[in-house]
Amino acid sequence: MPAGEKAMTLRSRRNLRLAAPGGTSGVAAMEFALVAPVMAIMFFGTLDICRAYIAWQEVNQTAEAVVQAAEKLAIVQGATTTQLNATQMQVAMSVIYVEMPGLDYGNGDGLLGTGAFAVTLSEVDFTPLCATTTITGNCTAQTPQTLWSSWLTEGGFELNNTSPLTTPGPVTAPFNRACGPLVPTSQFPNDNTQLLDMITPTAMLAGGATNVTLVPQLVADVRFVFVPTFAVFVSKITFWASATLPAPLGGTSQEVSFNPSAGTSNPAGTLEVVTCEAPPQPA
Amino acid sequence: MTAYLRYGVAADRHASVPMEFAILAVPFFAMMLGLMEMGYDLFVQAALNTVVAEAAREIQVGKVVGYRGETSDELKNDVICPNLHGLLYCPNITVGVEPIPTGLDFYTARDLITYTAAAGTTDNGTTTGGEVCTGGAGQLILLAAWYNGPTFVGRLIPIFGSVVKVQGVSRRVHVTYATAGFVDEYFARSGEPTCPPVKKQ
Repeated sequence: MPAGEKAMTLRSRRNLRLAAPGGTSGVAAMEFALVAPVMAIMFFGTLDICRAYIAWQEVNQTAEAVVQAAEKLAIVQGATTTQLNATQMQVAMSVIYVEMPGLDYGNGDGLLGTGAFAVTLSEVDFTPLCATTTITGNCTAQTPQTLWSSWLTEGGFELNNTSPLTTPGPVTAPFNRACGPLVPTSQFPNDNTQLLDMITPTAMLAGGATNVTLVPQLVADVRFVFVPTFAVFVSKITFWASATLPAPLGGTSQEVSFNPSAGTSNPAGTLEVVTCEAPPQPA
Repeated sequence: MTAYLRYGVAADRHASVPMEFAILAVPFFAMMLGLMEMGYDLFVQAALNTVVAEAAREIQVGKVVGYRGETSDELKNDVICPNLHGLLYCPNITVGVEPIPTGLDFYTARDLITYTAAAGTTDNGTTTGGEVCTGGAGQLILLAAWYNGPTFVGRLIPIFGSVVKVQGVSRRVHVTYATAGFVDEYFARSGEPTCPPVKKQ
């Protein structure tokens, strides 16, 4: 250390001592002032982690609950077909409000605020590439096709593409699973190709098992935008979860059809339904 | 002594640091306790969410059936508490189950069960809660559960936390809330009493 600098340091210390003849006045306040921002960041950081974990857990539970409710509503005892109308889809998807009571839309305890969400309920059929509907040893793949897809959204849902937990997706409606067999991954976080993997072990599709029939699946997709306390510095996170259940058997048909005749007003959110053409049957 | 006589007590700065700390200790400890409380709330919320989901499933398939006029006793003792595996203190849980009236969905009926109704006429904390009704096949069912946990910040700063009556005594607690909604698939056996849904208040 150069001599001049050392002398300056000594003088500075002396000056400090001289400037504070009382000695220790305000020390605790100074220390608190230094520690407070750190503690505040810890406080809100912990709060956010807690809220995010709860949101993640509830998003997963919501997906399961939505698809379960839809499956039960599609069955009418004694009926030969299973079908869902817009009202029933609305009811099934409104489960999100009770599975995530922290959502603050009109009521709720506000833990999760007005984080935007989109719930999508769809039915996806699997048309085998082989001649029959049963996979035998040589049929190695099936083509998933969306039959119908409906969604309930609130809070101006938009995917935040800067979030590390999100795959690219639509920033505005529609939030349906796209019709047709080819669904680009950019259109839905969990596209129909991934869905096939979700419901079928790869070994079965690879010909490891015989007589595997893939029945139409009811699929619930839940996406929720988690807004951290310091949303200015920390990007929003979009949590998403999917759940599937085999479409219930009604008579001989195992396909839940969309019944457009019955509909009702939407008490919450925005409900839309997209129906696709029936998948082409293999020759 | 001379200093005291000349300048008075105000000039004595020997105790200023402890004094300042005494003032700053309140926000300091409030923050510390707040951190603890949030961590604890995360734990309670996760446990409550899990147990509510499991209870919903067991009601859905008819493992536990409650009719109008029955209390939440059986539900708590047979379904809720065993699934908690000792994670939460069972008497602090208040639970309610109600079918959702026709025409409503889970949004319009999400506040169907109030804490007062679920706690029953007797105080929460005793083994007897409010009425439950698990409905029948095809009905929409709402399950709500509250947990009255300790509030750490509320002990220090009384505006935090909520006051509920627990075993006859008003206590300041941290309330955690979880709900589940599902479609019942339990078909009542012949001779079982019916369970008409209540009107939304």
